[in-house]
Amino acid sequence: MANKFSKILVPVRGIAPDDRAVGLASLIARRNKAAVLAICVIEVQRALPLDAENAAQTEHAEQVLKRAEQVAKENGIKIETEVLQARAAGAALLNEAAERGVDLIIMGIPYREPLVGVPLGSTASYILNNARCEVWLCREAETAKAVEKGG
Amino acid sequence: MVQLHPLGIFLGLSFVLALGALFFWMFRVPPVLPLPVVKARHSLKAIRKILVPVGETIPSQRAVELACRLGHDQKAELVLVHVITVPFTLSLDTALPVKEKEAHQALELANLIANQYGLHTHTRILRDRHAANGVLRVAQEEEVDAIVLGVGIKRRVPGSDWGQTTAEIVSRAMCEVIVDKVPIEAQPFAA
Repeated sequence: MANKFSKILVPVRGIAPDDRAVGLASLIARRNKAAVLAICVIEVQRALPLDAENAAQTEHAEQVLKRAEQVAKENGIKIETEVLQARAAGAALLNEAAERGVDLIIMGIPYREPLVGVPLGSTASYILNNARCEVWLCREAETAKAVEKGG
Repeated sequence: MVQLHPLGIFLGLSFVLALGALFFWMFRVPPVLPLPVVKARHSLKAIRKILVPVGETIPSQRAVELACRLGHDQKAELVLVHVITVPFTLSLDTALPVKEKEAHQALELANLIANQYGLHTHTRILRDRHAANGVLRVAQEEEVDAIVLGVGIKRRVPGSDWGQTTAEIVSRAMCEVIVDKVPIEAQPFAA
């Protein structure tokens, strides 16, 4: 029953539940001696070439990955980070997961008020439905969202 | 006349070095980290009570396994719940021996997994019209910090990413919810 994970992918995009996902990945990686890869995908509109540079988005992605590195370091591990440019984040992440032999994807998702709509965004939904490896989705607690709203 | 012995010099130096190292360790300024980064670490340790809805399926057994891994370091308590769903055509207290037997078997297996990690478990069997309602009620009563759910690929609600029970728990739970989607290869009986 116990799975040994060797490579964990954590998609990050600069939201609060990212920290939880990286924390969880670090915990599992420490015990399994697994490698953790955090990826931030910059989605490029179809009107632009795929390699079109957007300095603001690139800087944001780098900040997000820096924070992921800090969270992982605080949890006692070093992680690999990468920025990808793609048309759709979900497909890009799964391609990367397949290429790198990832056996676990851990993704943080925010709390949404009930009845506001489906609880998953398009990337999380795509990953959940199409991943060939195990996927963990960590939905933050309602209180975490309330604290965030409050300040 | 002060006489210096090599052993005395060695001991003196060792003492000074040890004292220096101690002062350095005591007065060093730790690296400044953003508050959310520190919170992210400590919030994992704060998970003291984890609820796992248990069935006789492989995903739910893996969810128990995941909960054990999450709770291992801080010796968290696991609340293992099996909800017997009773159709509206029957009263809630109708005897359902087959379902009750299944519930006991599922909980026994979940207990065995948890015991391997040395975690304290607490099992509950309850009856409800909807499994999600039962799970959410226990989560509230027991004041759990997280719910860990195992999901497979079958019985997905059209237009949704997962089944009815999972969708409701993810939408309505006030605590953290961790969903473990098991890959197709790990489900030998997957359609």
